[in-house]
Amino acid sequence: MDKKKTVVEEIDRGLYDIKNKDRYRYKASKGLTSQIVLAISKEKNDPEWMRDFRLRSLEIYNQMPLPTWGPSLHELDMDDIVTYVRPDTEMKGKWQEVPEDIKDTFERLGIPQAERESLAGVGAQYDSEVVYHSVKEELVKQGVVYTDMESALREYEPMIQEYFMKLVTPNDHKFVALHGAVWSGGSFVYVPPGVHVDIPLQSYFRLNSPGAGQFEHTLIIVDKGAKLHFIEGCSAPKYNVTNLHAGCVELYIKEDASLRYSTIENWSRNMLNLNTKRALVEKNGSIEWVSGSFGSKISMLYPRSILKGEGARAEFNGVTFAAGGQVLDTGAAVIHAAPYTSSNINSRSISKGGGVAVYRGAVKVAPNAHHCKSLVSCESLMLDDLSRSDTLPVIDIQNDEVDIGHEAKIGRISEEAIFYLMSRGISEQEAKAMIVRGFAEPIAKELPLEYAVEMNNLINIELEGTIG
Amino acid sequence: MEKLQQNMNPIPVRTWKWLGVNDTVLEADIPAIAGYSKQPVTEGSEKGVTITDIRLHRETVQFMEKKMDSGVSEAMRDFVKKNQNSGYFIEIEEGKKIGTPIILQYDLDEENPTLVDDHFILAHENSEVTIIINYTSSCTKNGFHSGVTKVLAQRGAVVHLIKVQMMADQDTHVDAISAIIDESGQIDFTLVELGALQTITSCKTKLVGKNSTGTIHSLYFGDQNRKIDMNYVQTHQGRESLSSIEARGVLLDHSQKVFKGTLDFIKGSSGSKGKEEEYTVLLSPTVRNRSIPLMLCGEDAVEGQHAVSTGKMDENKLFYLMSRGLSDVEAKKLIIEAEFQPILNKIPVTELRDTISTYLRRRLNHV
Repeated sequence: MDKKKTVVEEIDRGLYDIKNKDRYRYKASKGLTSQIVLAISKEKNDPEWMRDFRLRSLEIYNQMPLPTWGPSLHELDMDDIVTYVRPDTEMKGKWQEVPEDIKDTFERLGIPQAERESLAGVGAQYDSEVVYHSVKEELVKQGVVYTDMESALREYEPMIQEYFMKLVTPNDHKFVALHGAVWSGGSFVYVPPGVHVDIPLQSYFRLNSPGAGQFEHTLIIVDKGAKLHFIEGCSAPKYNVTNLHAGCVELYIKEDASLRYSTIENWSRNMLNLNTKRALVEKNGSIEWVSGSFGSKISMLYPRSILKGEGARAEFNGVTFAAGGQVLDTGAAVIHAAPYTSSNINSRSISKGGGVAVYRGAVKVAPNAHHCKSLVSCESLMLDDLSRSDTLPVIDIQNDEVDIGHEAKIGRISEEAIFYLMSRGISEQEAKAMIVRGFAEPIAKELPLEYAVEMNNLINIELEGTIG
Repeated sequence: MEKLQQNMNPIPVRTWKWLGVNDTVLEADIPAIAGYSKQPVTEGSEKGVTITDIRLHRETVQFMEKKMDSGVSEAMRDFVKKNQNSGYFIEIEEGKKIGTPIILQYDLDEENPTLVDDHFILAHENSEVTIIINYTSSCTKNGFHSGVTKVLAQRGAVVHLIKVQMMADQDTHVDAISAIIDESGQIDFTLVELGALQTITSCKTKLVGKNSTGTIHSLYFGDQNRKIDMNYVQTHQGRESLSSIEARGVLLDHSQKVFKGTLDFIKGSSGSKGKEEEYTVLLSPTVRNRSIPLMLCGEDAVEGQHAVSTGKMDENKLFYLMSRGLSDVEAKKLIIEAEFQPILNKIPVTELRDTISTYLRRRLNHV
């Protein structure tokens, strides 16, 4: 058969590349100094411990070198990045009160529709502050807290002080130290013991100001026996100045609790997405990551699950789609730190048009973590010979009572599969499209498809007309 | 000296520092290198083979090794060049098929406690050869071996290189293999790492020619405080090239192992296939087993896959054997031997196979 190349059309970005007028009340000067950090802290009315924490993080940031592995970050110039932009609007409780241009962008991205479809809560982060927030009444009655980090810092200070950046410490790497110094915005969720939040909570992050970094902090505590599904989606308009996203997500899953954390990430193609996500899972708890990485110029994103209690479980389902000009270095890490823990990692990546997709993973089994099980499966699909796809897993086992498996496959669309489908009367184009969709299906089905509006807007991979 | 011991066996693409797998450090001090006075070539060679001192071929070697990988580290390669105390240039004539394996036997002892060997195997077009290099040692303390073996298989040539390492418990073994395979050529490596306190080995093959084939079959055994670091790379450059890496091993006591296996599909290697498998059986709760199976791909029309599996011995097998009257230890020994057999069977010399089996059985006595 003729060896035809498959081309999968890039996502139509037109909708997400709408820029609003850069309107702000307060904008820190370029570069990062202790003056800037202090100014941010003052502006945000931080308690003293938080101000000190920021300054300590800045010190660590200044001492730490850039990572010696992964994609090249040479284009990143911290002096060029305005670390903090506060949008010119107060917190809004009602959608109607959100300023028109901001609202318009969100409207196009489908957030109000999502709310109409009875979302439990919508937190929309416009630049660095949460501008819109609502939580359904019954959740409030059950004692569920869903608020922005700034309010949480005022209203739940002791809890924040206990958990904030204790799981991901500023010493971890340079960008998390930066985050510690300049973080702003983000969501805080607390689910009390035994409460099952049936409807997913959703938070929407968005960058607008050119050259602005976004350093939102998400802190979720799911208490004993509680259950939660949290959805995070990202999109940003395209600008010529390098944009940096160095957010941080800390998830605490207590005994018998479970959390599903879904991300649909579609930053603009000039974004450096250096996000840090980590979950600490206690006895019999479970964390489930669902991750779709489509956007950004460079991504370095590896959710890490620390299985601390006996019987804790972690699952990761991720799909990465790297198109031309993108280096998406993604993956997952699991640390089995207790006996009878289990993990399951399932990653699919597609690269096309010169895109680079990297799976970087780690499974580590501590000496005391006997009887643990882990299964890792990575599959990569190359759609042309301009692209790259690398798989870099590390398995580190420190006791013998384990059952660990890892498998990976790399290749292109099987000609036999196309032949089979074509023999059934399907055109070559459609056959290839079916196979690409089928390849992503095991992950795609884990994504919250009930948010059809948002999903359809964000992941609009046009397979038709360009294949063959 | 210190710099020489650092950054050995780096993985082709670096990853997180906290995993500590990006490279390795040679722990023992490198002793002063004295002469190696024994004669390693035991058999009289067949017609079609010339075995000469490598130093007589300096220019030829220099020309060809430029295209080859530097092995465990550039510093170590230079060290071997400078301190070499044994080394052969083995040349197989065009079209000659050598039936009897060529054997190089190195045995370290009190008089010869250090060995730095540098070999070059040149298999001309359509030739065939099997070469066995065996390292043993009766040193009572700190025997040291570091060596480089380069192999060039020209068009249609088939080389089978077998390296067996059964050095003494306190010894150090640093071994690098770099190879190039031309069109329709084939190089099979059988690498058996059983002894020494610290073993650092690399085997890097470039499949340059169309239809070239490269295979690595590796077997390792770690017990006591042994540390084994292996770095195997199959680089596909030529179209429709085939490669495979298969590693099997057993770890017990406080032994530690790092296995790095890389399949690298360079752009242009369309139609190539690569396969990598690793099976490790863990027999003690205090072992440390690390695997890094890398797959790098810059070409779409290729097929690559790898699989790693690690765990305890199959309890059903154990139960079956024990139900037949075997003791726990005997049953385990039998299973381990069976695990190793497919790779040991690749060694065409019965005496050597028997020596390895006896050596393994003795080592397994304390399982």
